[in-house]
Order: sequence, then C-alpha cells, then structure tokens
Amino acid sequence: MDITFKNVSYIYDMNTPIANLGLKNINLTIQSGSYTAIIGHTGSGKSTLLQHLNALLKPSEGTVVIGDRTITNQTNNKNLKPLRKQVGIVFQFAEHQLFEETVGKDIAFGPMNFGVSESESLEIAREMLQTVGLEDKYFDVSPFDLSGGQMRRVAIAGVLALKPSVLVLDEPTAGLDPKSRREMMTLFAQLQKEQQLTIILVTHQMDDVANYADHVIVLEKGQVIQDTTPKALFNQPEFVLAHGIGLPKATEFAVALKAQGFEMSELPMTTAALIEGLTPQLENKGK
Amino acid sequence: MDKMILGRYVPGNTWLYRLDPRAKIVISFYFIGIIFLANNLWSYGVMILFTLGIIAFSEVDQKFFFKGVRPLFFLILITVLFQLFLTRGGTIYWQFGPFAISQYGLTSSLYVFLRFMMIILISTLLTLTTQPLMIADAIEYLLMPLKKLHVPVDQIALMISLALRFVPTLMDETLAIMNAQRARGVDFSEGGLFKRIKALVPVLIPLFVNTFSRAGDLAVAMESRGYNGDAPRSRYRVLHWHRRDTGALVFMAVLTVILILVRK
Ligand SMILES: Nc1ncnc2c1ncn2[C@@H]1O[C@H](COP(=O)(O)OP(=O)(O)OP(=O)(O)O)[C@@H](O)[C@H]1O
Ligand SMILES: [Mg+2]
Repeated sequence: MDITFKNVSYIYDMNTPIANLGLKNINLTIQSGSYTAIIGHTGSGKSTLLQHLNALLKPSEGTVVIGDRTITNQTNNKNLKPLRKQVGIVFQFAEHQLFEETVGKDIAFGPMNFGVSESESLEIAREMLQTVGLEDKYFDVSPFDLSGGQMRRVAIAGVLALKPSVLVLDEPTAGLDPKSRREMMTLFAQLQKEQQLTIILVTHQMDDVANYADHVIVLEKGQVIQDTTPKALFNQPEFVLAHGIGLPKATEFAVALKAQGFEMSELPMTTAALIEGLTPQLENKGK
Repeated sequence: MDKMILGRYVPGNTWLYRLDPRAKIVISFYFIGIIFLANNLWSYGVMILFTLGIIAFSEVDQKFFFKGVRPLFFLILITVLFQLFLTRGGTIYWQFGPFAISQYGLTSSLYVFLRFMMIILISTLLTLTTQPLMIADAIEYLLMPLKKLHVPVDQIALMISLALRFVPTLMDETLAIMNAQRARGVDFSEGGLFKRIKALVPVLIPLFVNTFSRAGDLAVAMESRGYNGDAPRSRYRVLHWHRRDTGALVFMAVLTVILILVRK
C-alpha cells in the first residue's frame, strides 16, 4: 500500500484568529514495505503529518492517497474504518489510551471494534502480549498496575492486534530504558522484514534512523526539507547540523576523526561501518 | 467541539483586553443582574444596543465570534421553544393538545431568549478577552473582603487558577485520547444514543486516570518547592486600576439610569 501526499497543507483552527500552520505544501511518497523515518524539531509537524495517514486529520488543501483511498478535505467521515484497520498508529505517550479492566481486554479492544469475535480477539491479545515481550501472567492484570514502560508495551500490542499493513509509530521508545528500547526497535524491524509491514517512525534518535530506516524525511516548520536515504542525509553533516538535527554516534565520531586527518570517502552511520573504515588506516599507521 | 468559543481566550491587545479584569468581571456580573430589570421592548432594546455596541467596538473578529456562539444559540432556541408552547395567557393564536401559542407565551419566550443570548454574548466576550489567570486574580481580589469572615480566599483562588490552568490541557488530552481510540476503531459519530455514550467510556477512563495522576504530581511538585497555603504571598502579576476602568463603571451607572427610565 503506497502512501502519497500531493500538495498537502494543514492549518489548525482555519478561518479563526488563532489559525496555526501545521503543514505546508507537502509532497512525498512512502513505498509499500519501506521503513521511513520522519525527523525534525519539536513543533515541526511530525505528529500532524502522522494524523493524515489514517484520516484523523484531513488536509486543508491537497490530497493524501493511501492505497486505493483518496482523502481530501471533502472526504466524508463515514467509511473510514477499513482505512483505520489497515493503518495502525501508536501515538506519542500511547500508554495514556489504556482503559480496560485487564491488559488482555485492552489489547482485544481494537480487533473487537473491527468486528472480530470476542474469543478470537482475546486469542490475538494473548499472542500480541507475547510479541511485545510481556509475560502471560500480565494478561489478567489491570493495566493501571503496570509500570510506565510496561503500559507502553501493552498500548503497542493493542495497535499490533489490529494486524495493520502500515504501522505508524510516534516516538514509541521515548522514556523507555535502553534494553526495552532495543527490544522494541528490534520488534518493529522484524515485523517489517517478516510480515512486509510498512513502518513509519517518528524519532529523535538518529541512531535508530541510521540502523533501521531505508528512507528519511526531514520536516522543518511544516515543510519537507529533505526526502532521501539515511546514508545520503548523514553524509551532509553541515546540512544536518545547520538544521539542528544531530548525527548518529558513529557518524559524529567519524566527522571528528576526519578533522584530525583520517580519510573518510563516505561517512559511516554505524559502529561496524566505522570500524571497517578505520581498521586499514590504523594498521597502516602502525607499520 | 473545536468551534465552541465560550470560555476560550484569544490573545489580542484592544481596549477591551486592557481593561482591568476586576472591572470586566464586576461589569459582567452587574450586567447579568440588571438584565432582569428590563421588562418591555424599550428596555430590552437598550440592553441589546449595549451588548451589540460593546461587541462591535471590542475589535474582536466578528465573524469568528458569532460563529463561535452559534451552537449555543441553537441550544437556547430549543429551550425557549418549550417556554413558547407551554406558557398560556392572553390571546391564543394556535392550539394542539397541551401545546399552544399564546400572546403571553410569545412575549415571555422572546424575553427569555434575549436574556440568555445577551448573558452568553457578554460572558463569551469576557473570557475571550481576559486571560484565565487574570480572571482568577481578579476573583481573588474581589473575594478579599470575605477573608474577614474566615473564608479561605487564597485557597479558593488557588483552586480556581489551577482549574482554569488545566482546561486547555484537558481539552488537548481529550482530543489526543479520542484520536488514539479512533485509530483503534471507535467511531464516535456512529450508532444510537446508547452506543455513542458507550463509546465515551474509553475516553473518560484514561482522562480521569491521567487527571488524578497529574493532580498528585502537581501536589508533590508544589510541596517539594515549599508551597504553604497559609503563608502570606506576594504577587507576580499586579493589577493596576486605571481611570478608564472607573470610566467603564460610570458608563454602567449611566446605562442603569437609562434602563430605569425606559422600563415600565
Ligand atoms: N491541536 C492543535 N491546535 C493548534 N495547533 C496545533 C495543534 N497541534 C499542533 N499544533 C501546532 O502545529 C505545529 C506542529 O505540531 P506537531 O504536533 O505536528 O509537532 P511535532 O513535530 O509532532 O512536535 P513534537 O516533536 O514535539 O511531537 C506546531 O506549531 C503546533 O503548535
Ligand atoms: Mg509530536
């Protein structure tokens, strides 16, 4: 399911004195099965863009095409359910959406809304609980008795339970401990590889962009200022730093080394690539 | 929901914004009081002229303003229809079972309608042009005399400012939770009344839980910074009474005189 934005603009509180620009003339395509990272400053429009992916917001101008659905500001609010089933969104602070008596019921809430039977939904819930790395003993526990990180996992399971073909993640690992972060990021990458899910990830972690994404979109003040691959983006450190985005750790290290006279034909994005580039040079120096 | 502007503040800097919040609150309440003095077409005419005049001269965006009160307009209209059909007296123009349109019903429902409308227009104008915290400050100031009667004015004021402070936060959070549940397949505009009310459960529960935990955090944060409700406090925002504020009160006095002269 390809997703295309054509000249999309979005204005909050349009036609009022408090009108506020959300997005401005966005053009982009997200290919089916790709792993796209969306980065940019606080307030650059990332969350606004995400809400267009399942018609929670409709463009003030332009069109959004999601698979065979076209969304414009004329689109009716009815019949959006099939779209919402295909595009699952894990929102920022997703743990705030939990409400059921038990973890299991909360995860099953989504599928049941889309017409899956209760017993089948609970079965899916049990499976998803395991997928996000929580033990089965939590199934009948109240979600409000869990830690913040565990609640986040339950919320993610609740969206995975919809079995979407596009998974949208708004800073899913913010505030998690390093181990949980790694586990979650590995899970998303696995879902993309094994189930051909399209993944769209909003993040402030450039290492995650470097390690997992194959496509990166940089937003600034509601506009797209770069639409490229992580490799191409991080190979323009001046641009990246000028726009206050930040570099992956390995790239940052490489830039510093380059300033000290090391040769880098291409800046590495990962530690492995950095080591690979450095080893021959260091061995030569040793001689 | 996001079209409603009652209770919303929109930044600006016209004379109405610069008026002392205490003057604005006193005038608003006073206005609501004297509306009940109006009892004939002339006196209602004076009040309407006053209301529309203030709105016209307030330099707020008129289109935005009237669009924003429109939902309330319809709400009042429905309430007033009951009054219209169920009140009797004077000439009866039309009758059907228990319902009738009578001369008395017609005038009384028209007056009730106008009264409600004016109260809503004025209070919307108040909140639209006065920062919530300013309203809280002004209320605190106006309640000061009650301190003599051992009313905990400071605590009440703190409660009001906290409540007002969290209105926008709650609105944003409600929207965010609704979006999250929509993404999980809830359709808030689908089905009958019962189904719609049921659809609100997944919104209200997280909202309550988050609000309680936030209130707890806030209390801890205030305590850890040494907040003590009984200590004498200095203020960060100091209100200044200007000549224009006195002028506004004088204007209200003049309005009252006119009103008394034209009423029956
Ligand atoms: N509900 C709203 N009403 C009015 N303006 C809004 C609303 N939500 C966002 N905005 C504005 O739209 C712009 C983009 O906000 P958005 O939430 O998309 O940013 P973001 O890139 O997701 O930021 P963050 O990294 O902090 O999550 C901001 O200027 C913001 O003030
Ligand atoms: Mg955001």
